[in-house]
Amino acid sequence: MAVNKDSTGYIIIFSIIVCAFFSLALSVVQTVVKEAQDKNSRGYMYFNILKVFGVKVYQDEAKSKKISAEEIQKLFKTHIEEIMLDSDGNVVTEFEVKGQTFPASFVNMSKSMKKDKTYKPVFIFKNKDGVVTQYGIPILGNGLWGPMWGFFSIKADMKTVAGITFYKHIETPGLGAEVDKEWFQKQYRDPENPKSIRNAEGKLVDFNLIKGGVKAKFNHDDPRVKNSVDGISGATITSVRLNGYLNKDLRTYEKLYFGKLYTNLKKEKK
Amino acid sequence: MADLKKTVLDPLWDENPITFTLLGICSALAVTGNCIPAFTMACSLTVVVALSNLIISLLRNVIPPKVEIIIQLVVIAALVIIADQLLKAYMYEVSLKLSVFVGLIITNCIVLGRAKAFAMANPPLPSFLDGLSNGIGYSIILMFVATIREILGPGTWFGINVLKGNIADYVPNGVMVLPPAAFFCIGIFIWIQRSLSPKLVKDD
Repeated sequence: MAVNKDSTGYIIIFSIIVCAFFSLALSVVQTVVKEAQDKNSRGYMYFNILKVFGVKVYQDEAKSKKISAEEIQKLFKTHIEEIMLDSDGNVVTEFEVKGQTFPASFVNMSKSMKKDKTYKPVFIFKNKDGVVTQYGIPILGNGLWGPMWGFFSIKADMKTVAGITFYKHIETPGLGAEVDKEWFQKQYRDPENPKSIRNAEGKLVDFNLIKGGVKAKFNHDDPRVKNSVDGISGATITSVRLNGYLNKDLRTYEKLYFGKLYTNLKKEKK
Repeated sequence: MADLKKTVLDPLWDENPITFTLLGICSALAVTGNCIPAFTMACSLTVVVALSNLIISLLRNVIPPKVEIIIQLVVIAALVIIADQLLKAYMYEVSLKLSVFVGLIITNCIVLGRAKAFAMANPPLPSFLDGLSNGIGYSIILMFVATIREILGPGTWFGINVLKGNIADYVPNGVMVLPPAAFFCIGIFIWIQRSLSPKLVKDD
């Protein structure tokens, strides 16, 4: 039986069969490995939450070897308190899906950061004496090629920046992907040159990456130095967009939570 | 039999995909800074090219010529996605380092090149071996470059200290850490290869 391989009908049927077969194969693989993948990415998220709080998460000085998954779990359990804010700024500790309760780290971040009506996670870091020293929030927005997922932390004085990390993005290696590098992230937790999300009056101001570098743009006594870090050469769009969503997320959290805590802190001082 | 032997041996040396046909250079530059990612990449590519050759060879008599390349790409893309998913599930640390490059295996000319040039014209077994061999040829160069770059760059090999730690005040070689160093290494390899096998030199 000779089949005309050039006939339209044959092409369509053949293509449909091939596509259906490989779609099925991909679905099967995806289903089989999903659990292992979820476990990995959750572990990596915990790793980054610990990292944004400055916890020692590497075995050696060169930062090439991470601590084990079990240690990450253990450190996360001892040091991190997870809370969520509803749209009115009330603190909630768990949310419920189909009768099961989940803590803040299970919130669907992409939904949470884009819509206002969902819970916003906050991660509270306690030192080994149980004293709250830092607050961490997820940050999420589009970079040049796609969404960038990360965390940003401030100290318990509600103004000093404590760190930044990214755990998922598809920026260009060597350019936008420099956000993963030590030189970049170190600017956010340099004890000799602390950065702040507030101005001298205590008002939340934009925290920006500066194209060309902070030193080139501002005099050393300019107050804006405190609210700026060096941008990334060759990655202007990544830098500009990071400014955009970081500040948007900070404003959201300021309205819901940080603002109140800061006011209380000031009252206590008086 | 002689043909089969030629199929297996040629891609390893005389027709090495990187140094002779100069395919797949992009990933050879990108992932060879350290041996572990380079080795994972080499294995992934070998598996993908061998299986894609096998599958495409099995389909070669029924693929409509008008949509030939699209069907080949569907096969390759599916295999690449499967490889990527498996790495993410079982070798998460390495998959973080390889980032987009596993996905980019689909654009590696070796895979489509072998599918078009060999698998479409040959039975499954030789095609599978051809893919395997080309993958191994690619892997040899990748490991050669990665070994030089990792030992002279950060001073380690597969993460084990070689120069670092044994030589006091070892300073990592910045050039070797960066992708352009792979150009030098591949260039040197091509030079050695052409000197050993003068028949590969084309006289113009």
